[in-house]
Amino acid sequence: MTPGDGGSRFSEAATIRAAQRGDHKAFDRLVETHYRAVYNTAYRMLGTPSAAADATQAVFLRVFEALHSFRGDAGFGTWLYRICMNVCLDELRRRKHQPLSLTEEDEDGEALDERDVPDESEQPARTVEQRELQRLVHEGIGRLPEDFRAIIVLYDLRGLSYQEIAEVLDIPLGTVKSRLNRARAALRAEMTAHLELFDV
Amino acid sequence: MMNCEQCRDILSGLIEGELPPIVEAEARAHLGRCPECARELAELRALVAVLHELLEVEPPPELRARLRDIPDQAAPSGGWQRARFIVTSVAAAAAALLIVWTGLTHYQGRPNLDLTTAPPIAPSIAPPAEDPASAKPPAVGGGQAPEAPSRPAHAVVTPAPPADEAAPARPTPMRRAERPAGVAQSRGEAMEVAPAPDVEPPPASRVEAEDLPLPAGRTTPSPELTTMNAPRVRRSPVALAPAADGVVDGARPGSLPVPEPLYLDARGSELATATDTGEGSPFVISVMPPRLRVVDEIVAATITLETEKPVERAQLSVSGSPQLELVDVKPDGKLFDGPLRAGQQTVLSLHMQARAPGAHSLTMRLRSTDPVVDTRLAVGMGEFVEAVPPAERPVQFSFTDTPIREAAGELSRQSGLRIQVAPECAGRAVTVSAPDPVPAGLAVRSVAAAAGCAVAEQDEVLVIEPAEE
Repeated sequence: MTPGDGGSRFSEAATIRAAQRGDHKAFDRLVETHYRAVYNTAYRMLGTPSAAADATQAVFLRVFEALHSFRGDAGFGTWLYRICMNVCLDELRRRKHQPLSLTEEDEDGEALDERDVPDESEQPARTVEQRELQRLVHEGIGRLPEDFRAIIVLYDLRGLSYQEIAEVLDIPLGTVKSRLNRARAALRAEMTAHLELFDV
Repeated sequence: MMNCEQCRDILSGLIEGELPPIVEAEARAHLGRCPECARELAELRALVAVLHELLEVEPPPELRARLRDIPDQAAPSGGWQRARFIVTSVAAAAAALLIVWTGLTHYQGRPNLDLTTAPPIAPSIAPPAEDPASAKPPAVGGGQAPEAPSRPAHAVVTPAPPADEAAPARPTPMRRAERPAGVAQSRGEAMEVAPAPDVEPPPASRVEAEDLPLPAGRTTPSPELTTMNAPRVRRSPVALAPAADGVVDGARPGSLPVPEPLYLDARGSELATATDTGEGSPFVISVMPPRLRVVDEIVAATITLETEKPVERAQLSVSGSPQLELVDVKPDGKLFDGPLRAGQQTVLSLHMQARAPGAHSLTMRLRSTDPVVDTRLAVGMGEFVEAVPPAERPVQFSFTDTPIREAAGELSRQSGLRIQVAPECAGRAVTVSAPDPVPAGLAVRSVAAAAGCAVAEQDEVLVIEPAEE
């Protein structure tokens, strides 16, 4: 598993070794390969681009500081996802029980929904309904409990296997499957009011 | 027969097609009978489809620049020594080297030294620097000399690990309430422990801490951390080694204060700092590791001495681990012999040359007159690695109908090789792979051959050009 591209043609082993030896260019290559995946994971976990950017920076800071301890027992991607999820879950716990809302206001009282949401309007062949549906699903994910959110993000959005998720979240394989079932059911319940938009 | 609750528990597995056939058959039978469950399955399928189509979002442009700055944010002095600059003697076998003897009789080997009558002794190697910056060592071999410390205050002193612990111990983070002003918290989780073989074995004779007296009111080992400027005497579980010149001998049995072990922590600062925590005035030794990581090249390191009160005479001698040659140090290892001024830094430079890759250590022996301190420290000097020529660096690749320019770019990125593609070859594509690492030079030739081209070397640049007929 590689967060960056789902399976780079080129082995990362040499790059990781170089980065471990202090080669900052090698570290930057690791960042370049993976930061979009980390950012997208954090975006779906935390809800807003600014929080995702901060989390991505925190993730790679931790990676930089702990890279020397990476021994390759787990794949680099698994290790990176584990750090990413830890950062995101830490942030969610820090927020305590504040519900995720894309219309939350920032410190200046400015609504975030227009300022802080990426513009996906340039995506080709996306109808207004499709974009609306994606926005609603994104918000629905944000209302899920964090353990449900994590499993939906890792399995349905990032495409990790059950085994990889078990390693990332440090939970048994069976728990991954049962939690995914419950998480999807919870998300469906969150979307009940908008089911007419789904192509059922 | 399956009921609704049982069916809902396995809908996800049904969508993923991973149910055992018999369970799936039962589920489908139930779904055929139960419109509610069938509708829930349909809605879940639709939801999963939307999830799978959820768009990737593009990170904000400024994020990439923020990420590029991470090495600087994390380590102003460069990342590798933060991670690799190490305390060699955390391992039990070498722990004794880190112990600072405090309150010991100074210059035991020279009992006639009388502080009141001894004449001032000029420094023999390096004078105390009025301006630490002026005493920076020169950059060697392209390396950048580390910054001189403004005021070392990064010492973190931790309880020693038990002597019988084979595993390397790590410093315990200092609790906030216990941390005095000016003492940075250790981020010990990233501390590396160097292999013990590079460290000199402790002297044969030992004094067990348990044999030593404790002050009144302190009868149990203290779990707290000790800090600089905090004189105390404490029972330590680690076996103590006497100084090489026999300071710990039978001259004053029963009166020897228990020393504090010191761990140097280079993280979070540009320095590794050790601080005397015993009786007398605080004494600071800071060590800056060399930045270069090459074998057989001379690299510079800096040692800074600082004391709160003037020291009439101090001696510092150094020695390297077996494969670490100290280039400009006298055979007796003496690097400094002279007075130390209160509150001023004495910056000493030395140059060293690693004869083999790997972690090396520098052992320092400091003796002084006042405040009384008799210290021996071992400091890891980071990892020395051999410089591998780009053409010999390992690369891995798998090209399938890949434009040769792109393939050459990837090999260059992995190895640092400079590669050019002649216009005659530029339009070709290659299919060739190396699942296991191969030398970059060989890889370039393989790629060129796959395109029907050859490789010529011109001024350290590999040129992929048409093969000669």
